[in-house]
Amino acid sequence: MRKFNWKWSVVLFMILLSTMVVWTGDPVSKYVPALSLEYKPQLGLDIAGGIHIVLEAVDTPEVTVEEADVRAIEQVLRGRVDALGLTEPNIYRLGGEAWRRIIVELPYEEKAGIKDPAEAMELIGKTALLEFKAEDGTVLITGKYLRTARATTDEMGSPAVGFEFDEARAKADGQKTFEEITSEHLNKTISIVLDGEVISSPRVESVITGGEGIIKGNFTFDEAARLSALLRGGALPVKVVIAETRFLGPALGYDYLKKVEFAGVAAFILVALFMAFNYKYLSIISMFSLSTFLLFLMAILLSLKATLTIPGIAGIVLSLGMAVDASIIIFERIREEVMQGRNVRTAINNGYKKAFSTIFDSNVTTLIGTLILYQFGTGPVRGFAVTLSLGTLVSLFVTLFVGRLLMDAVGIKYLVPLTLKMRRQ
Amino acid sequence: MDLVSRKKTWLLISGIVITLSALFLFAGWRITGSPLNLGIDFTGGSIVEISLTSDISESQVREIIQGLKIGNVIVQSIPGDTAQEKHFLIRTPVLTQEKVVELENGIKDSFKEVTILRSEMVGPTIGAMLRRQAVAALILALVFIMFYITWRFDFPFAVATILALMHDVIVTVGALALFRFEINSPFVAVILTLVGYSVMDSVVVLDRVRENRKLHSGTAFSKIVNMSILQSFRRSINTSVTTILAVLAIFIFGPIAVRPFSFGLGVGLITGTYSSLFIASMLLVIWQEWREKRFRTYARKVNESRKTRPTKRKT
Repeated sequence: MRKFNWKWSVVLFMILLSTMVVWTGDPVSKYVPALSLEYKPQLGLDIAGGIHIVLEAVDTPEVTVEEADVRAIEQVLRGRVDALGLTEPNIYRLGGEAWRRIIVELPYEEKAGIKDPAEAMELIGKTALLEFKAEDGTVLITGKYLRTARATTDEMGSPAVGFEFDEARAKADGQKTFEEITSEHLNKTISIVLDGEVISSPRVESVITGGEGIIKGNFTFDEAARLSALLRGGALPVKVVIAETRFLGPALGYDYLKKVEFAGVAAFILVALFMAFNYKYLSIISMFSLSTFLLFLMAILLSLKATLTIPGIAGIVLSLGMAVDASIIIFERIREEVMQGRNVRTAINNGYKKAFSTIFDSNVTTLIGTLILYQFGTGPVRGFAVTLSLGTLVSLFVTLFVGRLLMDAVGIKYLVPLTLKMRRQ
Repeated sequence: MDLVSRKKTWLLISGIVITLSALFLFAGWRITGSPLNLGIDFTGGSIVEISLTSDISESQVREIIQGLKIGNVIVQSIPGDTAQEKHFLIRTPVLTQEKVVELENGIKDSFKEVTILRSEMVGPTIGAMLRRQAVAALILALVFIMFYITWRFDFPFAVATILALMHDVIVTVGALALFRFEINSPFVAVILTLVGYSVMDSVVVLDRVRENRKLHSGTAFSKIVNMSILQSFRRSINTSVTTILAVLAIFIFGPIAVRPFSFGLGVGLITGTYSSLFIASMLLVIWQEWREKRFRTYARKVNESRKTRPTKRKT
């Protein structure tokens, strides 16, 4: 038993740790709460369903977009989305060439969630610029000076939006300005305009001193609530267009997931059969390597909290196909060495030594491709690059380290002689 | 078996396939206006997938959507998950935000039992950026790999690998053009994976050439290459087959949406195996023969004129 060296302990420890991470029941934290290894796979929007919106701040003749504006937009959007009470919204700015773009990702949720993109665009894409205009069209005051807004009802009991202007602050006094406006325009109509659309044109019947008022319109309660949330969050500082939206209902996504998982299992079986047919007993080593490969890769992806997307899973399946490559290169080398009359131990040593440069070079070229893909790709394509590049690294380790251990343990004595003897006959 | 002496045959086969690819692309361009069936990721536009009860026909849906007056609409029906429902794909050109909302509300108002399964809209600026990035990524990948192979092997090896790689990319693009698969952003992933894999495959053979050149330094280069191809034949085929099996599984059992992706990869893997065995190495032989010929002509010149003293110039 002196072959049970430190390398085996490392591998066994890694297998144990990975199993605990991948195990959905999480056996550890049940007993040792401090050691929680509860990792749940994070499913991408293309599986779990949800909406992905790309907004772009655009220049208008009056305003040129600056980075501060984009940051302000991000804040406003955060406010709007939080008002919906979603659990895991994801809002971020893109860097580099796409610095004007902001991405909003809203996972599908049964409650409070957004059910279709039209609804999302209403909420996200609105500038929400509230203006009070005089009869001649001049802007008297804007929503910038609002302190708050909430859904309420008018004297007839129909839904309306109640608003309240701010008290004196550093720059301006919303309440006072509003008071002046109402006294100036007494008995005239003022239009309340949202994003250029007149919502209502009430007549000013008295001077309003407290800065409070309501907007009547043909609202439903939901609309009134949403509009007041928009007004509370404030207007977007610059013009924003929606550059891209992707919405996926949950039904389709889980259907995709089931199919891709099935494809993964099928790929594993096909590869296993092919190996068993071609390499007989030696295929045991590659199958063991492949199983640990999948285990390690899943554990790494889970602990990195990588989001699993459909292209990402395709990347895993593809790297599964490529992970066997290294085993094949080694097996063929060993076979050649044996054919040249070397004894089993030398053949294995030489096989690994000679196969190494081939395996190394070929994997580096794959990595170059995936790294560039990661750099340039967006969203789902990045997921593919991540799983494929991690898969390549893990497969290198598994084939050269774990596979080698197994080869030394049982390959020399049983598997190589058994397999190659059968071939010679 | 002497594979190298038939190098013209191998190159001819590739020549024919490349010509066919070019023809498919050209035909696609003449017939549909675009060599490849570019999806909304590249062209911009929107696509909505809805589920309706199965008694509703394609023309009914088309009529209602045309009533909304949103421009050139393509409606296509695909089978749903159960017999009672049917999916419809509605494609439109780039729409303004209001129009998308209008389209969806129109659908929701016109049909009773409708579910919007999927709705995607890509504006024109995103498509343009994606196209630019795809080209930049491809060029960058080629340059990096070229440097790496030159460093690890030799410059001619790098040229041979890159030419074989371009061969694979052209053939794959041609196959995608032939079957009119819709090409979206995963296409970039297909091409870059292909780049990595095709080079990896070529490296397996070239690595053998490098090794054999050291072992049998006196032997003719074409013999060394032939020997290397034969030695790495099983290996090349087997490594490709396992990967192709994985891709095949995704193609057959995976979601239909991933099909263009796995199809492209599959074609790329097959042509990549062919090119690494029969193209990259043949190109190396041709390069070597050309060099030797040039060297002989040079040597003859030197012999003929005798006036210049022999130089040690490396050719």
